[in-house]
Amino acid sequence: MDALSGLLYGLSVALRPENLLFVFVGCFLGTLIGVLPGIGPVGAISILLPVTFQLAPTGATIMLAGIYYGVMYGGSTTSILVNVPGETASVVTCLDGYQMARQGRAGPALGIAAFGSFFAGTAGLIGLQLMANPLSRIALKFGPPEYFALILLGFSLITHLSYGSKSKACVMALIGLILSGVGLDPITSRERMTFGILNLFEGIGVAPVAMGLFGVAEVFNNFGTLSSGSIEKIRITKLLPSKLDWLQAKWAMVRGTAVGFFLGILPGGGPVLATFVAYALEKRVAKNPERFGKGAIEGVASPESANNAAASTSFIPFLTLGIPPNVVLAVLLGAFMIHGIVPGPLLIRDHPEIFWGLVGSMYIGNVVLVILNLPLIPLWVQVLRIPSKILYPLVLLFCLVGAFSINNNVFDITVMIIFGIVGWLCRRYGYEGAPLILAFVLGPMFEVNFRRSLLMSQGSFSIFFTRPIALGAMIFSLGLVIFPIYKLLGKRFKGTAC
Amino acid sequence: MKVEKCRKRFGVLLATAVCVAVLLMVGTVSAASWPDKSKILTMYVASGAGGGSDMAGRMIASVLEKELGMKVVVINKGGGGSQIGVTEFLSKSGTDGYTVLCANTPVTISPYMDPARKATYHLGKDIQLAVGYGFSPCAVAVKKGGKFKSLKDLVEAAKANPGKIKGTASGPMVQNDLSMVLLNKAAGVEIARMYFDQQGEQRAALLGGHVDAEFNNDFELIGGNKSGEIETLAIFDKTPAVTLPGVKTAESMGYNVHMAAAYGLGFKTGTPQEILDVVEAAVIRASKKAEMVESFQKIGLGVKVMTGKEYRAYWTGIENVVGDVVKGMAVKK
Repeated sequence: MDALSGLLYGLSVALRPENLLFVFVGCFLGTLIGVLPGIGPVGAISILLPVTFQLAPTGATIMLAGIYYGVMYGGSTTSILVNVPGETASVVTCLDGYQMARQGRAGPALGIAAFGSFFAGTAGLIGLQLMANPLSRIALKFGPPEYFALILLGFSLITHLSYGSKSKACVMALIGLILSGVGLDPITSRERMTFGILNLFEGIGVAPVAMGLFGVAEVFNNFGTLSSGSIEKIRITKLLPSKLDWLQAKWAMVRGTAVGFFLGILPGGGPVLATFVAYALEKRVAKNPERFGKGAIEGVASPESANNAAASTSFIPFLTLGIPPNVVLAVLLGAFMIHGIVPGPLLIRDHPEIFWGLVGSMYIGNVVLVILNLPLIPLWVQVLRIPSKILYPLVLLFCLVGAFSINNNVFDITVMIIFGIVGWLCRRYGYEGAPLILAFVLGPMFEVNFRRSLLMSQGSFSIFFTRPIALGAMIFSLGLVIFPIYKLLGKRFKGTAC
Repeated sequence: MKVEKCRKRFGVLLATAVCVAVLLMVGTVSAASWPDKSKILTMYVASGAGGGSDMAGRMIASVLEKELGMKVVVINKGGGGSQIGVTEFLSKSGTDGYTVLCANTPVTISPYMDPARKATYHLGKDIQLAVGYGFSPCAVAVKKGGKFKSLKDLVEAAKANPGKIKGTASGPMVQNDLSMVLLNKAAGVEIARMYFDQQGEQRAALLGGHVDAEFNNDFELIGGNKSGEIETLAIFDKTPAVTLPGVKTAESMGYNVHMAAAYGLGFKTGTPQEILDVVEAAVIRASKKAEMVESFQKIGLGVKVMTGKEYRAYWTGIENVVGDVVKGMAVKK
């Protein structure tokens, strides 16, 4: 079956009334889970897994997949409205999305997030449909040294995540890196910086830290203004993106999609990493990067496109090789196995209705999500009309419930509150949270891939410079660090010469 | 006077006896009436949602729900290689039999066998095992059509290139890591142990040629084996597994290595034996029905019932293995 007839067949499977219902239910649940902070797609899919035992395999997989990419749509909503990332993949959206909302442009931000998601999700699907096999072979080229070099590249982009002082951004990144080392050593299981606290053995969770640094800190910040009585009233100007918004966001969407498309294929990469890289790239290529962090629409369009493209393309290694590139798809793999279906090279041959049905349902799902999300925008925007006195305590309540829901653990609430206070203090003194979060997310991957690489080479550092992909990424990141310094020195030199 | 004193004493004695009898009766009554179907059985799974341990837990939860006729609620409490979950189970659980732990060798064992982990519990002291229900042997797989055609090939290569042959496991001191340690010991080689906590990363590293062998549970290998991406060389069990047809045991090739994940149920010490017996009987009853076997088959988990006693004996054996490995590690450092 070639790609076109396969797709037509897939659409016919996905458009069967019962399957259409599953697409809708999955997308709806996904949006809901995305909107609620804390509980993420992994927890939701695991809990729903037993329910799907009774369903036909096509319906079950369609619904569970719908939850996964639906979450990527919904996660941006609270990021934009109240600075609380609904999922880790939506942390970056807070940076400009929330600023847009403060300027009364929540509608355009939500709109561009939804359209960007649709565009990227669909583009990712086209890639999945046409180039699944060659792409998955490329993904296999990435071993520990390549990942290490790639993450190093991520680190070299870290200062692009802040709009203020670069040195302060570096300080925050270092703190994030140190914090990511807390917990049991991934290789020897020895305690590091746990102070004997059992709850720290697994390390500090990303979600409570992100919710604390962004959402809770914002609430604390507003308590200050609330008591002083000077509440700025947000005037809501428009509900949909204007022509100018589109023009500005157009290429950001394309670039975000490209980044997400590629990083989604890599096992261990995925949507979270994609959002950070996409944002940093966007700022790097922008004509006036100082707009970022102050409500630039590209800062919403690019990460939101990236996480949806990554969600689509992460199905590539999953469906063609049976490799789940992230935890969500690992749970989904379990669901496939329960129904006796083995994802892998033989899936298309043995179960065409599953493969093409899933692909077809994802095309439909992306449309469903846009239809589901667009009418909701005016409703969401109304949230901002709620008086701050009521809104912010509510936000805090949602964060508390959300943090608890991750592991049913009160400790996560404590972590969130501590980072809320830290975030509030940092903000007062001009330190930003984003570089900390990025370093915190990258830290563990950085470490294990470094140590794995050295295990592979028996301790020789040459492994990072003798493999073409790793070498390329190393040179590129070195360039990213050296070039601005060179430029700066050049300017100074000229200055003294004159 | 004397008689009066005697009577008083007798009275006290009688009263005590009555009290003790009543207490005993209450005790037996509560155990005999277990399970109270209006109550909820809380099941602790000491790992996050998703993954083998969680799946095994959720499967047995639905079995218990049917057999005992009561609601079973699963609580996932991951972290610290089961240490966080088990610690919380022991602090929250009473001895009334309404809180049960999904135990899992060797994962539940490793934390308390390693003194550096400072676990506050020890199985023999704190947990009574009721029954073992699921069993998944470890196995070793390589990329199909690659350098290695047999376990002997792999071992020979490891002998010829000490430290250069790399094997994957999902984390330190879990069953697949231990199977690698035991193979190293049995064959006198040093296959480098590399950890990938996500199953996908493990398989990608193998297929991409970045590592040489994947050590894993049988249910993680079924898919790749079926689709022909990987080839399972040997299974580390006494008998071949139905999940991996055609794969011989390592023992039959001269490497005496046995390692598996064995899933079971445990209660806090002090729980009446009668309750444990009810649970044991319920699982044994269910295991004879096609429904349980079929549902377990779907996730590739073999049903293997061990009575509480057998499971305890098996558990002690694994404790010794883990203990030896921990000691070996300590000596090395």
